[in-house]
Amino acid sequence: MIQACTRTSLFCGLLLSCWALLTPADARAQGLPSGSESVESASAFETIRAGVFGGMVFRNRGMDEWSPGPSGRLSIDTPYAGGRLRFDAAYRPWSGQIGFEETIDADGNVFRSDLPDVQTIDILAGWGLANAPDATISLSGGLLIGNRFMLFDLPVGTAGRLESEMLVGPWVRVGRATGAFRVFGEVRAMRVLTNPRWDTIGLSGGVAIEFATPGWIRWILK
Amino acid sequence: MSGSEIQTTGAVRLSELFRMMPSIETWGSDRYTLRLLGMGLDGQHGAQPVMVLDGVELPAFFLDRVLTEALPVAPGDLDGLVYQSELEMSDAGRLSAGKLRLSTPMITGWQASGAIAVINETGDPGPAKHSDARRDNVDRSGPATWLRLGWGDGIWLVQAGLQTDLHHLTDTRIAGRVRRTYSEDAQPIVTQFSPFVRIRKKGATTRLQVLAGHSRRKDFIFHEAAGWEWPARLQRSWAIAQASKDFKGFSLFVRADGSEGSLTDRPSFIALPPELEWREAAFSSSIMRSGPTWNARIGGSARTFEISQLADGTNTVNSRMLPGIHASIGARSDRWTFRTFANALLLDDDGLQSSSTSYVVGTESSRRGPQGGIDLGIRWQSGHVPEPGQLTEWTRAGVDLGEWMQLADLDAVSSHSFTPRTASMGLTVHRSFKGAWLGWLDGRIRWQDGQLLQDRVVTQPFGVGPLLPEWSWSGPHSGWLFSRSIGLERTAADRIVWRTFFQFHHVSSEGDDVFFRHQTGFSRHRAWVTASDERPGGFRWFTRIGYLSAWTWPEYQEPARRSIPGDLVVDATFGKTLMSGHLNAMVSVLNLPDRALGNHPAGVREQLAIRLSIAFSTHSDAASR
Repeated sequence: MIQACTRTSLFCGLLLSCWALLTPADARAQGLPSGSESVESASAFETIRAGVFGGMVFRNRGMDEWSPGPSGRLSIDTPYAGGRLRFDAAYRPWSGQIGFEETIDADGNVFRSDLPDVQTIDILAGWGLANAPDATISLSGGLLIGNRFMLFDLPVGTAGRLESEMLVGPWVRVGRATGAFRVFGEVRAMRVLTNPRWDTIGLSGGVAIEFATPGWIRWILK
Repeated sequence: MSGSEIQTTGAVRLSELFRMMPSIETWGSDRYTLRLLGMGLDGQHGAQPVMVLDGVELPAFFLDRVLTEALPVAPGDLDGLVYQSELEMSDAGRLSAGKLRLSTPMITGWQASGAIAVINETGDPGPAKHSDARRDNVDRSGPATWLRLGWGDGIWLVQAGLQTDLHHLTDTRIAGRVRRTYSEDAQPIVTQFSPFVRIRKKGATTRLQVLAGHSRRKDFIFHEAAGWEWPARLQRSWAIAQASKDFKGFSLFVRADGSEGSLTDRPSFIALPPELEWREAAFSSSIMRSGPTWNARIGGSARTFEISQLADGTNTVNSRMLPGIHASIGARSDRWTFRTFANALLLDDDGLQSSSTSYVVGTESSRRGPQGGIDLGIRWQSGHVPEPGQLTEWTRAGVDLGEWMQLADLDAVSSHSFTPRTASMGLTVHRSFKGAWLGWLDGRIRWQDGQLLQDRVVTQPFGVGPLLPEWSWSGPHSGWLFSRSIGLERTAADRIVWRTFFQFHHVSSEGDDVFFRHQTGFSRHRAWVTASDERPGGFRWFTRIGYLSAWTWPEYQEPARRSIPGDLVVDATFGKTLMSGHLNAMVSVLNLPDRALGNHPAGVREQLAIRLSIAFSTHSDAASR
């Protein structure tokens, strides 16, 4: 618990430090958290930022017998409640360990069975803080919560072919605006609440475009 | 709880809502029953709370628990909920321990509404299921749904509704036991389907309510005494009509209700009780004379029920006719209100009783002042009150329940007649402070005597067949139960709503070991804080932080028993309205009592679960209510 609190504190501290560095000096001089102020002044759901990301897991703990493949992700976010509301959908294939289990029959024949491959789809929603949306360099961070759907490479109809479990985790994203587009890099640590826990830390990059929210989407969100 | 506070919880089932009101567990906390949402209230331990919907009592007592999810109301319908922890006998002669008063608003025009929720407990093994064969999935709950279609003009309300529920009992401990009794390969599933219709008139002098419904439930009814799940199919049809009219100086009240049900078995490997049917009807009427500062009411009732079972070609039928009378006198002044009442039920042929009359008498008084007030209630109950949904009533009716209700022992007890009696007193003092804060102190004492209890010391794990616990009926037993609470709350509509309390329980058996073993540990001392709020823009949240004291159950001894340490429980719900208030989406992180600890069925600890719920309404204020 203490370790978790320490990690959370470090994360928040890092976020605030970066925020201070990226906040315009005149705003800091006024004693205002300019990013927050600026976003708060932005009308809720005024714009949508939609992005496509690709990424890799560089730390996988808890399900060591499965190796992660590259992921693809769609991500959209919009201003809300002084920060940004975010929705993600991510896909990643995982390869099961070859020759995981060894069995020997009565005749001494050795059989090796492989673990099934699995494809995961994460559906996530969350909220985070961001510095000024019109800044050239943007920094944002927050928390995502959602569900991981796991489709195992088993014959159709097999019990347990589709499983799901909740996942939660923080993320930090750095971006740079280039015209209507933004290029992003992101680090996220996700914990799937399986037993045993399934923890991953991943790095991803992508490009997003920002546009005015269509009226019908704004009506849905408001 | 106010309507907006109820909606911030994101609850879709009544049982989800009630677990946010821990005072309901004042006298009994059958945590096994509570471990699965949608399984109703309590179990096995005497009279249960009764649900009162807009002034209409809704009997839903079956197999020693109140099946709340079969009632024609869901949390999304409510604009208020009040719990009163008092022993009562209704005008129709039904005994209840506490009332849950549910109120719903009248609507204008056409309105359609509904909600759906799924709960996924965390702790599934995920891929690890394939690398470690010992791992298995935990339970899943849902989708639970309710739908309403209604029309109203502020005076009349006509509504049709449907509630459905689904549970997957995938938890190894439960599924393993169930699979040993259940001869279908399919995953153990509990389903419920409950449609209803409702007509309500709320006029200046005339009030009318007509409700009718049907409920089908495929269940694994856990009977704690039996130690295993009964794979049962329950069907129940019911109708209630209640009317009152004010005349000059007096009012007239009339109520009639009827129900019929059947209990059949799902396929199983073991012998189960043969099909059971029951029918019940009740009528009550009273007249109330009122003056400016007083009222007096007197009335009569008749209740009849029949239990029948076809076993080995013989149809065992047991029927009862229970006439009753009730009377009350009330008075009020600017500050004081006072009411004293007596309800009596005449038992025609009850071989268990030395007395042929069961009754509840009591008084309740309250004083209200500008800074606070005081409420005092005193009750005395004597005699056995038969209920067709009670297991002991079935055994008395000669119903074949196999060996698990220890029928022979009950007969032996029957030959020694004794009268169950209960005296209770509750005192609440409350005072308001600055900033819309309200503080309160509550003390409750209940003395029970002549109780029929199970005499048992369980030393083995629960299961089927040879692992059935051995026990016998025993009586009469007596003892004292105490509850002391202190609380502080702020319920101002435009600010964060806070509720906090501490409740301490105590049992005194005066040397009656059976009473002590049966009661001790049922209720845990608890400290509770809840906070909720609705923000502009439709954002709403509800959170609960509670501490439950360490727990033991003396009826269970090693290796069946394992002491349960103190629990810190944290629940949180966040949500937002969408589509201009027509849709309400909520995410909840809940702690459900569902993690195994020890072998006994109540040995459960909280397990983290996530609930997703979506509610809709054609009236934007209703979805966001």
